[in-house]
Amino acid sequence: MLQSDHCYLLVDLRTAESLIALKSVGLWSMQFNVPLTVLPFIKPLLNKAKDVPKGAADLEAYKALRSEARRRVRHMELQRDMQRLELATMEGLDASQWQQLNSALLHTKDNPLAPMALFSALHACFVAATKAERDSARQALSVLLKAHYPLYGERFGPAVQAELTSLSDLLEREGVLSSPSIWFQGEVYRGAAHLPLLSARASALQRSEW
Amino acid sequence: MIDGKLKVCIDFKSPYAFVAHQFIWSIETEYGYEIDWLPLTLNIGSFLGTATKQAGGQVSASNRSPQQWSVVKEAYRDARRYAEHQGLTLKGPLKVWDSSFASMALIWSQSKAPTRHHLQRFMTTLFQRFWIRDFDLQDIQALCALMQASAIESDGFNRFCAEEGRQQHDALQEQLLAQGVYGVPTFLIDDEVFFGREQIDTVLWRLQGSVGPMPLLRYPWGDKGSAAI
Repeated sequence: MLQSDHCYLLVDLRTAESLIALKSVGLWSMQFNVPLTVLPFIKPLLNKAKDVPKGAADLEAYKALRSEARRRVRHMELQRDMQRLELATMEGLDASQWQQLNSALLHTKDNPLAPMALFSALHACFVAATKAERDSARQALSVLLKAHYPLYGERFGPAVQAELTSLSDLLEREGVLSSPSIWFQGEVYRGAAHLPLLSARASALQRSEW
Repeated sequence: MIDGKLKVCIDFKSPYAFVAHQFIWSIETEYGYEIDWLPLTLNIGSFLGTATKQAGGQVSASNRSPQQWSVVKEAYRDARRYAEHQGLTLKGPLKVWDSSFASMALIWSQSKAPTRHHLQRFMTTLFQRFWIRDFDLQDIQALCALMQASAIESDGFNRFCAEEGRQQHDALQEQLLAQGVYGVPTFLIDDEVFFGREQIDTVLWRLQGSVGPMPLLRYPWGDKGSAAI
């Protein structure tokens, strides 16, 4: 299903990290003229420590401290990501709307919206939410979905959920572990922080085509 | 400009610390912010399980789940991309190492190295030899020999490891964890914690007074490793 001449950005639009990736990878794809498809990849955060058998009290205490440290630093990083996005909050949408939004990405083939346009539209939703205009945020999202994903409303439900699961399974087989990730030239890159490397690869590709 | 000194936490057995090491040094050598290196000895088994491999690469013992193996393999695949680009060799370790002696060697060397250049040489050599499987992180004599080769005084290191060094090391681990340090490399500026080598630009931006928009996260891509040898 994944086409080798395409780049795929796998996102969970509930996260600031994915929203930043949408913008930066969108700009990168325009700069290097690489076709980009944005797809949803919705998986809970990996909790690798839970697979470790219970150990002595000091090990369990260490795991608890480490888990707390991780939680604190993730919170700091979220604050910085919000600063990068110039947003005060990404709240204002309820769980079902997030699900609809992520699911709508499944239908980009039916009526694709360029990543940068999608970013701008989403950003506008969150700007509205930042101003405590929760209804405005919901309405902006509803307009976005209706305008660009006309099929989503009809298809949303168990069938779409199954489609999401099937896509996640396929992406996992390709080596995708979390969102955001980038699939380019058959390799998976976790996070938009890989863009300097990807730029080097895209430049090399362009040179080889010349 | 922030007055607080930049603290950087590393562990010699982390592939991410290895591929970031020379880029982190450049914060000091190119931008002039002296780094206080702090060793964080990761208990990898507590979150990724443990495994032992034979020299040929076959797994001889493991308590890892398939998911943990996926994460470990992906981490090495990813770090290797960056190592190779720097002209460095990164061979996956054959076991989960206890790097606490190497951590104590970092504490020791930082206070004993005649110059920062000597410290950088010691750290670089240790990293590079470990990642080609040419260095035993748990061998105190090997650590002493490496210090001597880097013109760092090693007399007393043996005793340091048994007494004061171990105490300092263990206290530091508790202190760092309480401060929010759970992985490496981690950068500390005052109370702010920045985890991962993708933060180098943001750390510099913060050190330089947070002027302009905050940079995006990005993994450094260059040839610092080979250039530094």
